[in-house]
Amino acid sequence: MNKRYYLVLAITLIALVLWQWFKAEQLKASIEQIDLPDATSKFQIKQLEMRQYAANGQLLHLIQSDLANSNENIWQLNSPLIKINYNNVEWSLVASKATIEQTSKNVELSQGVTLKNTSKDKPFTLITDNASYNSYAKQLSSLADLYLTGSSSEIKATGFELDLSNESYWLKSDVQGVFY
Amino acid sequence: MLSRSANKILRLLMGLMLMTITSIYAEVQAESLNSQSDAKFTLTADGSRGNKVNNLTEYYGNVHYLSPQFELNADKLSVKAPENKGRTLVAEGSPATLTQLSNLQHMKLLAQEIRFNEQENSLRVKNIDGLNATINQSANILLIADSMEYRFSAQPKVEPLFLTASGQPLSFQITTINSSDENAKEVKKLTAKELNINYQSGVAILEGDVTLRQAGELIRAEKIIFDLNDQTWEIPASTNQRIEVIKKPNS
Repeated sequence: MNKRYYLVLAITLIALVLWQWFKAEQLKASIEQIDLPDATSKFQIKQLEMRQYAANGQLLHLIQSDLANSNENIWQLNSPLIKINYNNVEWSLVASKATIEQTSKNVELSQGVTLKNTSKDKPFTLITDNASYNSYAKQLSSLADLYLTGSSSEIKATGFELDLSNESYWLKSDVQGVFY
Repeated sequence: MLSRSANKILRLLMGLMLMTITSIYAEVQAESLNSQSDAKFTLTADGSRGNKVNNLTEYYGNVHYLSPQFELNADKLSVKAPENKGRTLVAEGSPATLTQLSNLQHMKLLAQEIRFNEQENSLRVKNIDGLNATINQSANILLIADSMEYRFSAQPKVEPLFLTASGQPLSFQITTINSSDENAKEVKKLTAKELNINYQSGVAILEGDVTLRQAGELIRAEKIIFDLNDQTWEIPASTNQRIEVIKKPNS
């Protein structure tokens, strides 16, 4: 009788442990599924268009691309065009390639990165080989060489930080300018 | 035999390539020169910070500015370019140096702050460490003052118009360069509160507790008019003016 009692107790305990373990595994799997839905997904989107709005409904960013590849939490865009609207100033940012990490605010742009402000009174064009755009801070930065043209100037330099929110810039080294 | 002709073709191709590259390079150089010839000025610096909203750009570290009017070296150069108005440049350094060459005058200026107004072609200078200029290749002037304003014409060529300076007192030295004997130099040392130079007439007027030292003489007056062309000077007649001449006993 005693032996049978201990056996039932042991089986019950084992069943309890197995049930708890199975429950924990189930919970873990469900958490992973919620947080990382695209962890294993790979897909392509042609003619991608994404829009980001401010709280007041104003369009902040419009991202367009001929072809977008999503792979392991990273988006790779071909021929991206990013339109930025801030303080009623419209900027366009183009490149051959762009990489966006879903967990980051940064867009890494490469090959023929060109930023343009198309306003008539203060036209501004910046060309560089690669740059990083922080969509949250609205800052474009790079350590590469750059070529900058304004309404009456042409400037070459190496490395820059550009803040679109207050239209200020920092050219980090080797500044060479021609002014008209 | 085949390798010889292949060699010849290869050499010919290389020659053609070299010619093409040379002509492209020459074209690019010419284009670059043409585009720079329209430039108002060129500028190099270690770094730069700018703000499009207030139209202000600051260049810092080994700033070198070159325009048809003058050349400037400074630690920092601020360029303010308000819309529809000429640019204002403020050069700061310890010291900032400005060089201007014209037919009439070769000038080198050392100062803590040099402010250039592009529309007026004027320089407003603070804390002048020294202005050294050769006028008409006949006289050399050296000026040390607290502040000065200098105007020049830029078209059709750079020519100085006038210079005003003030100090407590300012120091003004004129060295005559004798054309027959380059080693024979006569030095006149003056101090005053105000200096006005009119480059067109070649006259420098010094006012306010003026002292003139030359060849052992010390002359005090309220005003001295100096002719930069022939290095003669006069003290104008005035009722309130007292002229004092002190001579060295052995002179």
